[in-house]
Amino acid sequence: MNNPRLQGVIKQILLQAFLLAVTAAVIFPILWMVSIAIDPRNIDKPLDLTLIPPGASFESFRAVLFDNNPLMCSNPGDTSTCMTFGKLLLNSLYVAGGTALFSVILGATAAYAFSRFRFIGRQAGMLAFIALLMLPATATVTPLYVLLGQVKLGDEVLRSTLIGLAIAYTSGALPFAIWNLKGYFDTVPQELEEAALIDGASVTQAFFRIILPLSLPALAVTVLLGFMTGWTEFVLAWLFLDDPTKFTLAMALRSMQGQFTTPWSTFFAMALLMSIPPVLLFFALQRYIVSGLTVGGVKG
Amino acid sequence: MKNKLFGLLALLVIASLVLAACGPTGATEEPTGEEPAATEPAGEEPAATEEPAAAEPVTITLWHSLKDSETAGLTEIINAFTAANPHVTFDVLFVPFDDLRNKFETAAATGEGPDLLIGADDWGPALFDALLVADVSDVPTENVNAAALGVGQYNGAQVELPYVLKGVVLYRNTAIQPEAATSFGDLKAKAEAATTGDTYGALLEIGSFFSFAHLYGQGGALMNADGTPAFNTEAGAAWLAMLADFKALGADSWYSDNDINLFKEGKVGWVIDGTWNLASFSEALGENLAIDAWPTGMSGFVQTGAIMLSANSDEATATAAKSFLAYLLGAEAQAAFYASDDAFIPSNTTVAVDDPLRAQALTAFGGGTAWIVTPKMGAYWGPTETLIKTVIDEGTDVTEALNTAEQGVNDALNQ
Repeated sequence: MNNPRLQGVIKQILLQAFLLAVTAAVIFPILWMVSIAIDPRNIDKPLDLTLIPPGASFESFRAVLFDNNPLMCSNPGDTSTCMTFGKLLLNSLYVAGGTALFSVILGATAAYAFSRFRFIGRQAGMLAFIALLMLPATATVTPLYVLLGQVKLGDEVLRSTLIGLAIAYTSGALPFAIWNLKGYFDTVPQELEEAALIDGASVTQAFFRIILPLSLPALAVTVLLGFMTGWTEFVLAWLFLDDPTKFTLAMALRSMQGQFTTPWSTFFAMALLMSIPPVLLFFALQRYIVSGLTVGGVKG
Repeated sequence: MKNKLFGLLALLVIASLVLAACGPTGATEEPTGEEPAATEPAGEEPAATEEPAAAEPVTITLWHSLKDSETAGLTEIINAFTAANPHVTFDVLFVPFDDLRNKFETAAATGEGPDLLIGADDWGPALFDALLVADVSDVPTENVNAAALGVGQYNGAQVELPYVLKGVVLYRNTAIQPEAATSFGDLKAKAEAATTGDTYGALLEIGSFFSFAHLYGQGGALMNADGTPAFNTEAGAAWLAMLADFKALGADSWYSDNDINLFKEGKVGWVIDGTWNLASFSEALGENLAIDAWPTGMSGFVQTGAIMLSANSDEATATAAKSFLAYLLGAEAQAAFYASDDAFIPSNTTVAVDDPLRAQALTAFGGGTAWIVTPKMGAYWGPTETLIKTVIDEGTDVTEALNTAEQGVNDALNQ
């Protein structure tokens, strides 16, 4: 065992074995989902993995994509009023996109103020955001329900609309967005803004033309996290929304879990299809996100 | 100056939003905080034609978590009712079961929510205590199964009505077990004889929900009338011994659906499961499926699907909703539900149950145990799950484990 070359080989084998184990742990759930999604038997709570199940087909994907959802109809007696994957997808994009947009706009402006201006309550404000982050989500559900129920948007209360839902999600996503963005803004040299101000730019112009372009990684992370919040959440959505035409994909996925039985094949088919848009968004923002995830917490 | 003005305006906007949010609205003024009282009688005959056609238009909002086939039946019933009562319209919303109660409680507590709620039968008492559902004792219930009605009676009120019967039964694959068992001893012997290779004579669920009723089958009880524990007895010890036999027969895990999967594959003789899986078992086993009357020493909980009337409904809507409830429990609607869903077992005793499996389930319910719907049940789950696990899996002394569980329940009740 004194042979350094042998030691190196053993070390390499152990390292590779460890990495293979980690890879298997990461890939197994996805393989399992794919396996069940193409399994036509719709078995209850499968306990083992059969990569290609007997009679494998893409029927569950077809059903998810093209069939009406019989549990989500404005008029249960008329299937043409039932929601389809396409309509659910649009609603999900609206809510998730809205949450991402609100988070990044409100988060960036608030974070800039906390980063650059000195005002009374600044420290207390930042600590208050931490307190909000620590609150369990269930603690804010009823206040949000009541608060958004007081505001009317046309004939509807804000709570029952997609924009209301996006606002509710933003309230949860905003504290982290502000902390993250403020940390990043702190790392941008103030001299750059001062130079712009000397050149005649206003504070607003400096914010939009200097700070924001330099903060794309942090903004990308905020957008992605806001989008993910709006994309996957269903508890608030089921609590707030009463109109099936406004239901989202996450709500539809949740609705497949019955009290006693769940159609696992279609459930996993929808789960896999649902994961595609966030993955695409991640790829689109990848070059910013990789650096953005490691920044922000350096200086606070 | 500009900044100060802007700050002042922002403060005013925030203050007005806060004040608007804290102020009362029409919606929140409705609940009175008083105990929901029975409203005027809704009519006598459970027929779809009882409401006068010239009555004021009413919209009944109904929330449920029924599955596809049940929803089709409900829609058919609603259509028949609204055809006979054109002034009534329905706004029906499906909500997943796990979200339904929270959604109803949150909405009803703020004066909103549906007029009718279809949910689990153990919700009624707690919702009635919280003043969220109303007493519906004035709804005509002739020919409704008396035991099922009893499930929804609480503190002198009818807090919910049973629109369907369901429960835990003993399913048998006749290809493996050609004959029913007469007693648990008989079942055990037959199961052991049939267990070979990858075939099990019986896989019997040990989890609390499925096994509590056997305690009653052994002559014991889980709780007394006042909610205090009653299981620390000889019958309790016999029940635990029976569960140990369940495990010896091959039950390998708690609440896993392994037994169901194997049963569907035709590899198990007997399983204990709910009638809600009747359709899928029937599809898998065809003519080899039977539901046995409970062998002596065993039992299963008999439950109901419950429908409740919100305490927030105004008088006109509550009256129309009660008419609908009477119609829903009547023979016509129950027969429609029965025809639309393969697992529907009517609560109305006049509906002919000609499907052999559902008739067998009804017979099995005769030896069943009424599901316990008191809110005190919440104190029992934790300590009794621990009781079963420690005795069956860890071999803890039965007397000691029963004492510990009893103490645990009492502590939970006192909290």
